[in-house]
Amino acid sequence: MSAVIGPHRQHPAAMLRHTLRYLLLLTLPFLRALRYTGAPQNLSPWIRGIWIDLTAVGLLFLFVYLQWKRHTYRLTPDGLYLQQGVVLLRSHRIPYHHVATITVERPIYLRILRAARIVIVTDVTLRSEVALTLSERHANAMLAACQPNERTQRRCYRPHWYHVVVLSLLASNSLSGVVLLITVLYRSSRLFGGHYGQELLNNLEAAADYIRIIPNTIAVLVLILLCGWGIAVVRSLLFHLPFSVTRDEQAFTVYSGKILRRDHLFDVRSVNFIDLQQTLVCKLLRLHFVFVQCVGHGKERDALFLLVPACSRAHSARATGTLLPEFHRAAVTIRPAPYSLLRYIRYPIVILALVHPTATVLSRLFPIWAEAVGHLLSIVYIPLVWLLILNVIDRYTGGIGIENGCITLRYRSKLTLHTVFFPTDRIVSFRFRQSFFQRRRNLCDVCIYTHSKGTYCHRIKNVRADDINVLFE
Amino acid sequence: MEFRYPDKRVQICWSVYTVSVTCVPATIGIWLTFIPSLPRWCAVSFNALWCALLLFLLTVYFPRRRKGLRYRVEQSGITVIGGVLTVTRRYIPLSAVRCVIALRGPLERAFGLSTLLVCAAGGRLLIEGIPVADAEALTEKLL
Repeated sequence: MSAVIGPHRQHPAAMLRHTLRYLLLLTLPFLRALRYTGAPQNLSPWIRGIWIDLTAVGLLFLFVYLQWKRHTYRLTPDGLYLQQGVVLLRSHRIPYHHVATITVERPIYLRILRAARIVIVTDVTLRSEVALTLSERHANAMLAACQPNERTQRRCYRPHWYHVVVLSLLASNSLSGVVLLITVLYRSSRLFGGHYGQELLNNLEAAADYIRIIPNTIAVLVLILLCGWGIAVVRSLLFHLPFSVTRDEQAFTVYSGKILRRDHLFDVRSVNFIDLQQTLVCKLLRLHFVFVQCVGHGKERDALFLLVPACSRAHSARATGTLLPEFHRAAVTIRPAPYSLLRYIRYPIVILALVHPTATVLSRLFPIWAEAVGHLLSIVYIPLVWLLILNVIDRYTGGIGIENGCITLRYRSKLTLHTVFFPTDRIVSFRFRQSFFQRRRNLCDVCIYTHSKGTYCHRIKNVRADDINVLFE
Repeated sequence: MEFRYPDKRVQICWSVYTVSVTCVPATIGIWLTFIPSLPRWCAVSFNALWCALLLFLLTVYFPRRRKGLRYRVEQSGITVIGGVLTVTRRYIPLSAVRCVIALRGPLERAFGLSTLLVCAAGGRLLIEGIPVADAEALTEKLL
C-alpha cells in the first residue's frame, strides 16, 4: 500500500468489549441492591443512596469512552501504528513483514452494527497479539494492507458442501457438545426454574425406555452423548459451511462460516507443517482431513487449522499441491524394526487383560453395583480394542522419509493416525530416546519438535538407531 | 567435534541437594516412629525405603548419570546426550535458539560451575555442570 490511512478510532462497538473490563465497578451497586432487597421499608434508604450507583455507572461509561477515544490506529506503507492509554500513553508499531496471521471475525451482533473484529498475530515474542474492532470498510482496508501487492497466480480451493458435512459428522467431538449442552441446560434451569432440568431428565429417561436392549442408565448416557455429538456436528457446520481457501503469492486466506463468519489470512512462512489426519473410521472409508499448523493460529492451545475437509488421498494431494506447493510429501523409507509389534500393542493388551479381573473384584466389593460395573467395564473394551487396531496399523504404516528437503512422518497420536510433512528447516529440535531394552537391539524412539508456542512433538517408535543417525547426520 | 563432559564436582552438587531434600522423609519417618497407634513395621519400612532410595541415588544413579551426560556444540547445532535407564539424545539447531539462561545455585557458585538452560522456539535443553568461563563462552556462541 502507498497511502497513509488514519489515524482512526475503533468502531463504537469496541466499547462493548471494553465494558467487560470495568464490570467490577458494578459490584458496589449490586451489593447495595442485595442489601436492600426483600423488604419494602428498605426502598427509601436505597433511593437516598442511589447517587453511589449512578457514580459507579458513570465512571464505568467514562472509562470505557476514554479508552475508546484514546485508542487509535494508523496504516502506513511500512506497518500498523497503534496508540492507546488514558493516563499512560503507549505507542506500538507492527511492521507488515512480522504479521503471521490475521483473523477477521464477523459474529452476528457485529454484522448488525456493520463492524468486524480483527485479530493480528505476529511472530515476535512480546505483544504478539493485537485485537481491534473496526468498521467493515476499515477491516477490509487493513486486511488488504497486510496482503501482498502482487496478486499473481491466485489459486482458489473450494470443497463440495458434502465434504464439510462428512468432516463434521466424523470429526466432531461428543465431549465438547456435551459440555455445551450441560452449560445451556444449567443456564436455562436457572432462568426458568429448577423443575425445567428435572423435566428434561424425565423426558430423557422416557426416551431411554424405548431402547430395550441395554440397561436404562447406559441408555440415558448414550442419549446424552448422542445429543452432545449432534450439537458438536451442528456447531462444526456453522463454523465451516461454506468454506474456501485462496492462495496468493506469499499468503493464503481461509473464508469459513456463514452465520459465524471468519476470515483468516496466513503468511505462508508461518506454516509449520501439514497434517493429514485419519481416525479409524476414516481409514476404513479411505478419507483424510488436512490441517495446517501455523505460527500465531491457536497460540493458546497449539490448535491446528483446517485446510481441506474430508477427502480422498488423491484429492488432498491435489489440494495441498495447489495451496502449498512448498510442502512435498516424501515416501516413507525408515519403518519400525521387524518384530516390534509387541512394543506397539503391549499397553492395550495388558489393560484388556486386566478389565475382566477388575470387574470381578469390584463386583465382589460392591455387590449392589455389580450389574452397573459389569456394563461400564464392558464399555471400556471398545476404546481399548479401537486403540489396539490403531496401534497395529501404526506399526505397519508408520515411519519417516526425507526427500527434496521435505520430511514426512507417519505415526499415531491418541486415537488418530497422522501423516505430517514439512520442509526440514521447520525442525526446531529432535530427540532420540533409547530404553534399556531398545539398546540391546540398537533401536530408538524419535521425537521431532516443530516450532510452536508450546512444544509440538512428532514421535516415531522403535526405528533402527543407525538408520536415524544416517538420516539426521 | 569432540563431546564434552560435565565437571566431576557436579555430582557433589546433586548429592548435597538430594541429601538436603531428604530432610522431609526423615522428619516424616521420625514422626511415624512416635505415633503409638501405628504398627512399628510401618515406620521401619518407610525409613528403610527412603534410606535405600537415597543410597541408590548416591552410589549408583548419580555416578552413572554424570558419566552418561555429555554435550557437543557443532557448526549447525547443539547436541546433549544423557540418561541412565533411558538414554536420550537431544539436538537443537543454533538458528532455533531464542535465549540462554545461566543457573547458579550456592554450591555451583562455590565450585565455579554453571547450568545452562537453552530455550529454543519449540523446546528447551539443559547443560549441567560446566565451568563458568565455558558457560559464558558457550552463551556467546549460542546467541
